[in-house]
Amino acid sequence: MIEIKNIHKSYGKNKILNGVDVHVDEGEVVVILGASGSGKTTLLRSISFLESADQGTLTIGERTVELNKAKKRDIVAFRKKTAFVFQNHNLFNNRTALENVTEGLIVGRKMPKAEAVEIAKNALAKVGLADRHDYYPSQLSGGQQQRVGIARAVALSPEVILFDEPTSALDPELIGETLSLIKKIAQEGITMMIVTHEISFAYDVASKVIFMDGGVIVEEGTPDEVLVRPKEERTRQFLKRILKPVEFNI
Amino acid sequence: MNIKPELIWEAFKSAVSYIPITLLITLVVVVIGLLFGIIVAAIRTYRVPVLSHAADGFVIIFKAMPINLILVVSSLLFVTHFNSIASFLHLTVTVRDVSRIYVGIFALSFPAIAQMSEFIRGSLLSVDRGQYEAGYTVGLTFLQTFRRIILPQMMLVFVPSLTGIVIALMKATSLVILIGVVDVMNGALKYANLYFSYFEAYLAAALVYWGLSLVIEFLGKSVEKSIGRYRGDPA
Ligand SMILES: Nc1ncnc2c1ncn2[C@@H]1O[C@H](COP(=O)(O)OP(=O)(O)O)[C@@H](O)[C@H]1O
Ligand SMILES: [Mg+2]
Repeated sequence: MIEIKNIHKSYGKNKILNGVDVHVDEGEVVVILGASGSGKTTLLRSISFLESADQGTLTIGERTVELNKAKKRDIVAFRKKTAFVFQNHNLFNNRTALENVTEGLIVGRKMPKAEAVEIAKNALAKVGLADRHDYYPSQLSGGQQQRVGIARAVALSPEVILFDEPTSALDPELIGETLSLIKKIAQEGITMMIVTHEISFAYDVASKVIFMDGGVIVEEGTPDEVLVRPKEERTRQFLKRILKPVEFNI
Repeated sequence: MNIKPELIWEAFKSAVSYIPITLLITLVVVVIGLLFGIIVAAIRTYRVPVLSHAADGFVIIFKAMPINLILVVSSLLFVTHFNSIASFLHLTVTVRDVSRIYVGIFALSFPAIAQMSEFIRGSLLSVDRGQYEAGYTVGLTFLQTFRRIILPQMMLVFVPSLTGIVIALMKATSLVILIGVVDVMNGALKYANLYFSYFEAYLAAALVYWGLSLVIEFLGKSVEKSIGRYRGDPA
């Protein structure tokens, strides 16, 4: 179970998060929607302490921490309960695909090497890269890199995986396969928070959809409630904009 | 002009016999430059309060000064102040006991530290912030992330610059003639006054510097190759 309460974050005078609460049950997939600049990335980054929030509490499992008072030790401990899939994957450039996955297991979690390699091989097989163990990121395509990024997160078996627009940096033809991969992993019961602009993917995969605007949650509910029958005008406007059929001039 | 090969040979032999001096000065200055350069770069990159301003000032001052100026001033200060400093520290050495090579090393170290710290800082900044963040999110601490992820990547950028710095420093050591140290360059010139064979002497010195540069260049390339495997072609 993950619980974020009353999280606030400003950059200078700019209020980015203005009291956001999110509750994620075990096995749930929460999709966060919102226009660019609405604070989605900041929310995910605050949960993994890549940004230090000004206020708010984070509970993962049994443990709670005040986000602005977390000590180094708390931060390392909480980070081990989460994993992050970045928009631009951020694979370790100097590590092979396999080493990208084992790094956190061996160094972060002090797992014996043989065990870590076993887990990493399974994770890479799961994302369809069993034949790419020894490739460096520079030798992989963007889609393959993102799949290694997903394998790296899954292998950690964290309490929650945070995805920040995992397909936004990919070529259009690679988006579909990456989304189906995430869907497949979601069906294994892994808890996830996903920021995305892919509405039909959100509809399929989410147990809960959150719509954010201006640093607050405007609306949340089941995919049907938020995506099909939104109550709030701002949600409707957003969906209208993002779902507007593309017009081709041929 | 009438070039005398045997005088080139004489000058060359003399120059070669001073290679150890040139290499010693270069090597010690490079090591000092690296050690302190890392400290200065870290202070500046991670903006350590107060110290970072001092480090900025240090770099600005020593990058702007001609090396021969630093050498001569250091030497003057050394000659005029060494005895009083030594006696203040209750040392029994006097200015006559200290080889000028040390003065050369001391003086060359300042610009070397300034230069090194700039390149180290540049290499450090060349590694994307996302690499740190990826380390943190898989549960690594700052030090673990730095040592295992950041350092190997910054070295790839730094080593080619280091090769350049080492060669530049090796050539700069020829300025130690200003303070009376004999190195490759001045070794080559030793007999030039006698026979008026300056061209031969400079040619001989150039040959030695070329040779040394080639060796340094080669060593640098080998290091680059061994640490840069991950940028290569498909395995
Ligand atoms: N490090 C930063 N410094 C200043 N402003 C920032 C920083 N990071 C993000 N912001 C601002 O915070 C706002 C929200 O950003 P973000 O959380 O990335 O939104 P989203 O992911 O929803 O597009 C944006 O207006 C952005 O410009
Ligand atoms: Mg974002």
